[in-house]
Amino acid sequence: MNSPTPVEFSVDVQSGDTRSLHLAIRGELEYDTGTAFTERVNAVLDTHLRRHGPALRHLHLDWEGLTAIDCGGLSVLIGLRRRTHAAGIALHLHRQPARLTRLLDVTGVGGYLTEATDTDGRGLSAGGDGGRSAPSP
Amino acid sequence: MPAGTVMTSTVKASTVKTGTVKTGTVTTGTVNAAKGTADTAAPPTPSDLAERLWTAVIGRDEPAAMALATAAADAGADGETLLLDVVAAVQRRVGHEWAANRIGVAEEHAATAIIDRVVTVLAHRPTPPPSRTRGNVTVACVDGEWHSLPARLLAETLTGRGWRVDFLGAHTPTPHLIAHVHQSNPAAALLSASLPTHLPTAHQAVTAVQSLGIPVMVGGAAFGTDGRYARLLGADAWAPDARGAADRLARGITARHAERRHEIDDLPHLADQEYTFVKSNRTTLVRRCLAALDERGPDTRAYSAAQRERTAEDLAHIVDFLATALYVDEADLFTSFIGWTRDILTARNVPAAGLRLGLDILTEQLRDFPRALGFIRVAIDTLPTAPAHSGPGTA
Amino acid sequence: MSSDKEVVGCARRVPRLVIRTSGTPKTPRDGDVHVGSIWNDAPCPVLVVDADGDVIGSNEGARRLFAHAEEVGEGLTAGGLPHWLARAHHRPHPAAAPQEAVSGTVAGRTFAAHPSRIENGDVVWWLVEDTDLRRAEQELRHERERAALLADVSGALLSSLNLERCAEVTARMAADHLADAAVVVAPAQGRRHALTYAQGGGGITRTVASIDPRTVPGLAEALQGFPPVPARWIDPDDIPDWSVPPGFAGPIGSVIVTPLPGHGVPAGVLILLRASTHRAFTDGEEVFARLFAARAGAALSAARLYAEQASITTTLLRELLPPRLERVHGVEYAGVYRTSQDHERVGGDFYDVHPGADASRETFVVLGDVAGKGLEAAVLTGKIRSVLHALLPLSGDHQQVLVLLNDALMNSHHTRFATLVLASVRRSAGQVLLRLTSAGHLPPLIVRADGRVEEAATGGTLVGALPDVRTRSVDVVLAPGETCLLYTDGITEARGGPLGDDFYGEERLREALRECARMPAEAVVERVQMLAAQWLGGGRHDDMATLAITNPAGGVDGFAVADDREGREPCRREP
Repeated sequence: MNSPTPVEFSVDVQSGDTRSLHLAIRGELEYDTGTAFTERVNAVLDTHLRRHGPALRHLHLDWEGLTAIDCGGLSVLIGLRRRTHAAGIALHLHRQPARLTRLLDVTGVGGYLTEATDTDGRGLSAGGDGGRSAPSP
Repeated sequence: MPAGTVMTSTVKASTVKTGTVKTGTVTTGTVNAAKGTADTAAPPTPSDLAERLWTAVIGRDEPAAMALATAAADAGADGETLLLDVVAAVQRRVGHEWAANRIGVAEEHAATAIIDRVVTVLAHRPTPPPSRTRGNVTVACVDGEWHSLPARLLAETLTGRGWRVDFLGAHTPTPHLIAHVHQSNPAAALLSASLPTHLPTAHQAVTAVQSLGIPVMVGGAAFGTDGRYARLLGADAWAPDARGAADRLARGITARHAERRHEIDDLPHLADQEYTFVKSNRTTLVRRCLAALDERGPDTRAYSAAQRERTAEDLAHIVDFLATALYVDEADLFTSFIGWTRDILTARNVPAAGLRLGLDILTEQLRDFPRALGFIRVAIDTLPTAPAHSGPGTA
Repeated sequence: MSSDKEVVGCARRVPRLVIRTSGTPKTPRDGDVHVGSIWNDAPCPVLVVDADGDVIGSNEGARRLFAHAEEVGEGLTAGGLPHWLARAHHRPHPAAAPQEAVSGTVAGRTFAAHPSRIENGDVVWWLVEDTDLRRAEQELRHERERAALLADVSGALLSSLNLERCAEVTARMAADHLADAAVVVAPAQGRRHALTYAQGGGGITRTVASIDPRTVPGLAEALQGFPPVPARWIDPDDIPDWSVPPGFAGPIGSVIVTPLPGHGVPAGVLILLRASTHRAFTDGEEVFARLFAARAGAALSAARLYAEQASITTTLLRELLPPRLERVHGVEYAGVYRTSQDHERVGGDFYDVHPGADASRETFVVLGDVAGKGLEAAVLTGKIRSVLHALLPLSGDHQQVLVLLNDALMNSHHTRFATLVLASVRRSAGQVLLRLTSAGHLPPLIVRADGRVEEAATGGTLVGALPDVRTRSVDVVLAPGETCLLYTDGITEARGGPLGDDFYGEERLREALRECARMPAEAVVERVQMLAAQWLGGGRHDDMATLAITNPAGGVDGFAVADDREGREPCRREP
C-alpha cells in the first residue's frame, strides 16, 4: 500500500475545457504540503478564469497518486470547496484511496465537498463519472 | 540479608488488645526497641506479604491489593521495606512469570497497573518527616524506556529519605530532561533504563546532563548487573538497586569535568561505522532477512500476515540488539539477548533452531562488517543446529 | 621550555670570556692583579670564590650589588656569599664535568650564576641578571593561567542556564581566583535580593534578604546596570554585616564592588573581599577581573532571560496541558498525551474530564484534535476547551454543544477545524452508561470483558469549518472490566513497524485492545501508547492522545476526584 520512498507532491492538469478541469494529485497532501496545493490549484483556476471567464462548472480531482493525507490536507480541501462553490464550480473526487474515503467518512466532510452548486444543479450528473468512485483496494 | 530480617526489625509493635498503636521512631536496619515487647502474633514477613500481594495482583483484584498494602502500612511496616522488598519483588515475579509464559502480556500489564496504584497509595500516606532534609534530585527514565516502576520506586525511596524528588516518569525525551534540569538545578540526575537497546539514547542523555555540570547516576538492568555500561558511557555513578542508589547519593556525587568531553571519546570503536550502518539500515536488513527466509523454507510463506509481522518484529529486535552490542562493543550483550530469546521461545514451544537460521541469514547480510559478524558467530555457537524446515521464532 | 634556552644562550657567551682568560695566573689573588680588567669589563657582577667559600675577588658590578644587598639587610655567609650561591658552590661535582648554572636573588634582582673553574680549584661566578626575563616569564605564566581560568569560567558558566547555579559558579570562582571571599548580589525581586556567598576553598551559602543597596558605596549604581560604572574600592570599615559571608573569619583588609554587566538587563553585582590591605589590582589582575565580570554577567543575564521565558511558558502552558485523570464516581479515567515534537509539551490534541456534581450526574468527557501542530494548534485547543467548559450546563445535549462550538469557531478567513468525541458518563449500579458522539472524529472503540472489540456506532461532521453540524449519538453500556477508548489519529497514523513504512492502523489497534479486557484504564492507555511508540521506532509522528473510560473489573470504591492540571509536569514529591 505504501511506497517506501516518498513521492514528491505535485498537482498536474490532465485535461480541461471551458466548463471542466481535471487535476491529478500525487504524493502526500499533508500539513506541510497544504499551502503548495492551495497555491497550485488557485493558479490553475486563475489561469482558467483569465482565458475563459467564469465558465468553469466542474473541477475533477484524481487521487490515484495520493500516498497520504491528514487533517491539514483535509483543511485545504475544505478551503478549496469554499472558493469553488462560491464561484459555481462543483468538486468531483475520483479514484480516491481507501484512506481518503475513510477520512471523508469519519469527518463527515465527503458530502459537503462534492455538494452540487446552486448555479448548476446538474453538477453531479453533468460531469465526471458521477462523483466518488469505488475506493481502490 | 535473609528475607524478613528488615521487616521484623522495623515493624512497630502493635498491641491489639487495647487497639492502640505504639508509634516509636524506627530506623531502617536497626532493631526496634519495642520488638521484644510485642505480644501479638508475628507480623507478616516481606516475603509473606509479597506472596499475598502477588495473589491479589495476578487475580486483578485491585481492592484486595490496595487493602493489603494499606493494612501493612497501618500495622507500621517500614515504607522503604514495603516498596523495595514487597512491591518490587512482586513486580520482578511478574516479569519472570511472563518470560516463562505462565502469564500473558495482558496479565503483565494489568498487574503492573495495579502495582503502580499500590505504590501511589503507599506514597501518599502521611509519613513521619525524615530525620533530615536534603537537596533536590531529578529521577527519569530515558527516552523510549516504558518500564517506569524501578524509577518510580527509587523516587519514592529517595523521598522517604528526605530528598525533594522531581520524577519525570517513563520515556522522558532528552530535551524535556535538559529543560527541567536547567530550571531545577538538581544535586544530581538519576536516569533509569531497563532494556539494553536504550543504551545509546541513555548515553546521549548522560552526556547532555553532564554538559550542564550536573552529575548523573544511572541504574537499571540495561547497564549490566555489574554496572559495566554505566562506566563505559561515562556516568558519574551507578547503583545496582534503589537502596544502593540512595546510599550512593547520600555520599555525594561529583560531576566530572565535562567541558571538553565528547560522546565519541567514550566509544572510539564507533569510528568503524558498523553501528551507524546497522542502525540506519535496520528496515532493509529485516526485509532482506524475511525474503531470504521465504527462499529457505515453505514455513514463512505460509504464514498469515500477522505471523509474518511477528517474525519481522523478532528480526527487528535481533538487529536492534546487534546494533546496541556494536555501540558498546560487547559480544556479551548480543549473546545474552539471544540466550534470553531462546528461553522465551522454548517456553512457548517454538524451536530455537529457527532463531539460528535467522542469525545465519543475518551473517550473509553483514559480510563486510567484521565486528558484527564476530558477535553473531559467538551467539550462533550457543544455539542448536537449525533443521532445514524450521522458521524463525514467532513468539 | 623556551625561557630555559634563553638562559643557556647567556651561558654560552660567558665561557668564551673564560677561554680568553686561559692565560690567567695560578691564584685568584694574582688574577685580581693581572686579569682584573677582564672582570671589571665583564657586563655583569663577577665573584671569585675559593674552595672554602670565601670571596677572594670581585668586580665593580659585584661590589655595588652586594653593598646594596647589605643596605637592604640581606644576610650573606661569613665568606660574603648569598646563601643560595654558597650552597651551589659547596655542592660536590666531578672535577671534569662542567658545573651547572644556578639561580637566585640578590637585593631584589634575580641572577643566573655561571661558574667557571680555575685550575687551582677556585671558581669564578658570573652573575648574569635575568630579572626582566623572570618577570616576563612570570607574567606569561600568569597570563596563561588567566586564559585557562577564563576558559574554565566560561565553560562552567555557559554550561548552565540555571540562575542559582550561575550565581554559585560566579561566587565560587571569584573567591578562588580573585579574592578571599565573594558575594554575588542579584538584582532585586521586589525589595529582596538573592545573595550568594563564597569563601576561598569553602562552601557556598545562599540567602534572600531585604537589603538597602545604599549601605554599600557604589552598589546602588552598579545594580542599575547602566550607565556602566567601573569597579570601586571601598573602605572595609563602612560595609554592612550582610556583605560578609557568614562565618568569614579572616580580617577584611579591602573591598571592591564590581558591576556584572548583562545584556541590557542588570545581571547583578560582585563584591570581592580581601584579607590583605593591599588595595590595588595589578594591571593584569584589573583586566582579568573585568573579563571575569563580563563573562559572569553575560551568563547570569542569559540564565535570567531563560528563567523568565520558562516561567512565562509554564504559566501559559498550564492551561493547555492535559489534566491528570483519576477515578470519578466509581468510573476510571486515564489519559496519555504525547506531542509530535519531543521538545514541545503541547500540541493539537486535547482531552478533559469534567466530573458531574455528584454520582447521579453525568461526567462530561471530551477528546479532540485540531488540524495543526505545536503552539499554534495548542492555542486553538485552549479556545475549544474554554468554550466547552462554558457550555458545561448544556453538556447533556451533545448536538447543541457542537452547534454552539461550531458557531464559536467558524471563521471565514481560514478552515482550521477540530474533530472531537464527546462522552457523557454515569454509573448505574454495576454498569457504566455512556452516551457517545463523534464530531468528525475516529469512533471510540469498546473493549468488552471477553476481549471483543467494537466500534461505537457514532459519527458526524467536524466542527469549525462547515456551516452545519450533523451528528449521530450512540448509547453504550460498560459492564465491569470493560473499557471505552477515545484516541486521536496520531495512534493509527503512526508510521513505522519492523518494515519501516507501515501505518499502525485501526486493525492493529483493535488487535492490541483484544488483550486489554479487564485491564485498569491506566494500563490500557499506557499499553496503546507504548505499542504505537514502539511501532514508530524513532520516526516522526503526529500528536498522540488516548483516553480510557473504564468500568473497573474489581468493583467500585471511593476514590477522590482529581482534576489538577499536572499532565506531564514533573511530579514533585516533597519529603
